[in-house]
Amino acid sequence: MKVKWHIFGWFFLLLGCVESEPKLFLQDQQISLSPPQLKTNSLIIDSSITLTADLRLEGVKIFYSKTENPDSSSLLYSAPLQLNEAGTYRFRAFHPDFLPSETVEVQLFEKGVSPDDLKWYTQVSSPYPGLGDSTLINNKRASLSFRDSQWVGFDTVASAQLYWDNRTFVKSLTLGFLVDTKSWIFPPKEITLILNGTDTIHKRNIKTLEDEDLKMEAITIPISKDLDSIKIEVRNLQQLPFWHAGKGNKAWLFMDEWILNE
Amino acid sequence: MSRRKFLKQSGYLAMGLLSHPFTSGALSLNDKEDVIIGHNSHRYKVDLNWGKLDALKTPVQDCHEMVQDSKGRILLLTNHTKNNVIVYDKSGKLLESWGTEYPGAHGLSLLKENGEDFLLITDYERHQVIKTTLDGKVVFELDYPKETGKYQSKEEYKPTETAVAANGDIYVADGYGNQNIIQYNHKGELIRIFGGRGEENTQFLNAHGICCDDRDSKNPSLLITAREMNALKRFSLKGEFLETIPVPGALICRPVIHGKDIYFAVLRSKSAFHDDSGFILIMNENNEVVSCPGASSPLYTDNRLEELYQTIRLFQHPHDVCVDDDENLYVAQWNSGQSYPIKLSRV
Repeated sequence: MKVKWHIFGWFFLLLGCVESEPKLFLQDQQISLSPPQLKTNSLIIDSSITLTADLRLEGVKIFYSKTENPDSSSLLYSAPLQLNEAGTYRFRAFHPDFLPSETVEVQLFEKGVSPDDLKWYTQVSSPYPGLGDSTLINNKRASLSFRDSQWVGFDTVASAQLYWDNRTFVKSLTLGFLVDTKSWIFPPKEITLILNGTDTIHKRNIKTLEDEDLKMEAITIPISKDLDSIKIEVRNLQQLPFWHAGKGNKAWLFMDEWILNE
Repeated sequence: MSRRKFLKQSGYLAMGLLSHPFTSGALSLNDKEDVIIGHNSHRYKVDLNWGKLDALKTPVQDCHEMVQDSKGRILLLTNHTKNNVIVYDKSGKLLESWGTEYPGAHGLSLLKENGEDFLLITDYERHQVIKTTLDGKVVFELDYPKETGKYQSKEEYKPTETAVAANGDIYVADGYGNQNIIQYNHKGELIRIFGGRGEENTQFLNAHGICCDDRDSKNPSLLITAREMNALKRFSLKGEFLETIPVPGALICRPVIHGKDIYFAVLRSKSAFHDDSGFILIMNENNEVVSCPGASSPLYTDNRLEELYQTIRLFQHPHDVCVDDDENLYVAQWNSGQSYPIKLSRV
């Protein structure tokens, strides 16, 4: 009997070893790819823009989609894309040895109508003046880096008025802003639009964040009116939320573009 | 058919032959393969379990730097003041630990004097460089170089790295302070200071790491990383600027020479989506990047290196790489969840 138990014992011990022995080295499908690197010559479409997606690792395939989170049945990226349609384009990398990457996206906008004049009522905060008074209407968006000179930074309210010599139809206003919570940059708290000096549109509580985030965002506010002027007032968040390292302090507001959509 | 593909197919075949339910669980382990990272001549398997210790007994905070001593042991420097120095054998077994007084333990260099190993530890919180024996006895401490006139107070001096020349001279990189390189003789007497903060050839933004390049024994020189500038700079032993070697996209921590190659931990990729986007970078004897484990393959266009970036989410913030006598790598990481080093076994 004793011998039999020994044999059984060894058998199960051996089986146990084979079953549970940890692999010494990292195996296929244990870690994921980094997201593809996206580059565009512009985020605002005049005629068309060129977009490249890259992840320089042998065997990688990048798939993209304008309508859904890409998977390996989406469109295969094979060469730089010439894009002339606004929208959100999403990209994701796949490889036989690694888990798929997170999805990265880029939002493209149509060029809007240009105002004939611009008057600022508030000062930009000196470290982040952008490229001068017309940075927010220069048809250029910034990048994820808050140091990008296309960002204009405010620690109070941003207020300016745009004018047209001839009444111009404006369907909506798209306002581009940065979310970079680790740098204390949060979405605007409140936006007020005054149309032709009379009609007022308020937009409050634009977006509440519950965790750290880094992304370029935009909000579009419907207008659908012929305009000879529009006053735009954007307020920063006055108190950083409880979960943030700077809770209670005021947040930075970083904007890169106001697009007046036709 | 590539070797890997062949192995994969043979693996499937073995599974087919022995697919009894009782054994399939065990054998299903065979359908995966070891991941191999890196490029060209420098490729590695990844051992994530090397050096893992009981975090209650032998904890780490940031794992800043590692060296191998003359006995072949691997020494890790961490800023955890329960045990600033952790000594492993090459298999990752804990041999000993010591050090409770180095809250800003950052740079670790090995020097040999008359056949005996010593350590140079830079501590940016103590604003000092400390020379110790291998078991932690303090030999001397170098305070901030007040006599140079380049510092108003010790707080401006935050040394990150040291290098020792063949004649025993010690060079200190003040990488988190005023960006100077300070040269001392082997007794710790000041010889000269050079560098400083700025974007000129002779200056640095984040002079984080330094080593003596004695690969050309007739013309030894200094290699100094300018981490924020994504560049490696070469100076003469007297502090004269010689050349800049750009490494676009790579925040290189310190140069580590082994044989004819230079190894670097790259803290992060300059333009990655994630902050924890580090990797390893290896240059050959001509200072050309030949392999980037964890990152994009090195690509030169018209003799210009294309930007490098992380391609797999393996490393978080690599801070130093130690090359052992078998050319395996040990990667110490900053701000990576108190994790122990990762070993890369050369294939």
